[in-house]
Formats: sequence, C-alpha cells, structure tokens
Amino acid sequence: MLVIRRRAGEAIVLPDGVEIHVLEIGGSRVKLGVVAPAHVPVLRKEAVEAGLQNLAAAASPIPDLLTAWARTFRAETAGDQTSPAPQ
Amino acid sequence: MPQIESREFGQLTYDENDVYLFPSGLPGFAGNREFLLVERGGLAPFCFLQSVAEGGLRFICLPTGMVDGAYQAEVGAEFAGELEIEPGSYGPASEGVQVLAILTIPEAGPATANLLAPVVLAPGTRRGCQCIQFGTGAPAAYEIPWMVRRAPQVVD
Repeated sequence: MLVIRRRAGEAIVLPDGVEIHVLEIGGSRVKLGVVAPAHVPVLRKEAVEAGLQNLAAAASPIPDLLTAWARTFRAETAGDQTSPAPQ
Repeated sequence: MPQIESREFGQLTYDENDVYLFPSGLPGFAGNREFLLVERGGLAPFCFLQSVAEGGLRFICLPTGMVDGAYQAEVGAEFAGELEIEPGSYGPASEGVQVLAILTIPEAGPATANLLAPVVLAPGTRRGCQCIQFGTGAPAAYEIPWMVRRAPQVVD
C-alpha cells in the first residue's frame, strides 16, 4: 500500500481526473472531498462489501440442512427468542 | 391477486399490501425495489426475502437476535428517511421494526450472517432498507456459531 501524509487542504491526484482532497481532520475522523467524472462511481468500501456479500447470498442454494437447523433451533429454544446457549 | 413464479416456493400469490418497498433496492441489486417476506412454518425462524420482480431472486434470512442477541442495527437519518421511521438503534426488542440478517450458506464452508448490512423492515410503513453499518467494523460474513456446530448432525 502506498502511504502518503497529507494535511487538511492538501490533495492527491489519480488518473482519469480523480482527485481526493483532505478537507478537515478532527478527532478520529477525516473529511474527504472527491472530485471524479460522472462515470466513476465513488462508494464507501462497506457499500461495496455489502453488494458483494448480497451476490454471494443470492447464489446460496437453500440447503436441505435448513429444515434440520430450524427444527433443532425450535426444539432447543422452545419459544425463547434468543440464540441457543453454546454447548 | 398478483402472483410471482418463484424458483424456491413455486407460484406465490400475494397481497400488494404485503409488499415491502426498498427505495434504494439492495446493494448489488439496485433494480429490485419490491420484496415479500416469505415465512414457512417448518423453516422458522429462517425466513426469505423474495423479489417481486425476479422470481429467481431470494435471500435466506434470520432475525439478527438469533445470530447475536446483543446486536443492534444503527439506523441513521438517511436510512430512517427511507424507512419512514425514527433514527436510532434497533434490535430484537424493538417494536414495530424487524431486523434481519441475510445469510450466505455456501455448499462448502460455514453459514454466515451479514451483520455489516442488516435488513430493517418497518411493517407499519411497508418500507425496507439494507442499513449498512458504516464505520462499525461489523462483519459482512459472521459465522453463526450454532449453525456451524450443528452442521455434521444432519442425518435424519
């Protein structure tokens, strides 16, 4: 990973007209400004991770195991709405 | 009554009042904005989010309380606006809101729950939203302890 120190008011430049500006530094957070052409999506990494996980989840077959898991869960919790206690 | 030809559940007849509108869709599936919560007695507490537009698209879900009883979904102003509810922390004991984790159950490997992006359903407003937990470090693939543990037992 390339590591660069920057102060508030400074920026870095990437290809295709992308600029990342450090606007404000305070406490444990940094406020960034991103300049990018309209065709370059700017996403927080968590949103990308969520999308990838959704794709994997949608592709998961419903396993036969689900019935067994459901039955065991219901038998052990008997109406209790929390996770079964670890064994 | 409208119907969906669903891959998993066959022909589903539903009431339009039961549809949840996800104003932003789901990450990775932005075009799918309408979902039904499908519950099957024998499979409870598991439930399914079935796309209205795409019969083959469904997500296996579990209430987050059954993944981690202490888990709370933080719903900030932006997501709360989509859901038409008050911003705040929502968990198993929250009234009027259901918090679900989407599961990934690969053919090989452990079943995991997405705690980074819980699905929050507001039955009162019929809105739904996948509320990404920005900056919390919540895992997108949290191994569900009791599902992992029970995996080898299935021989009935």
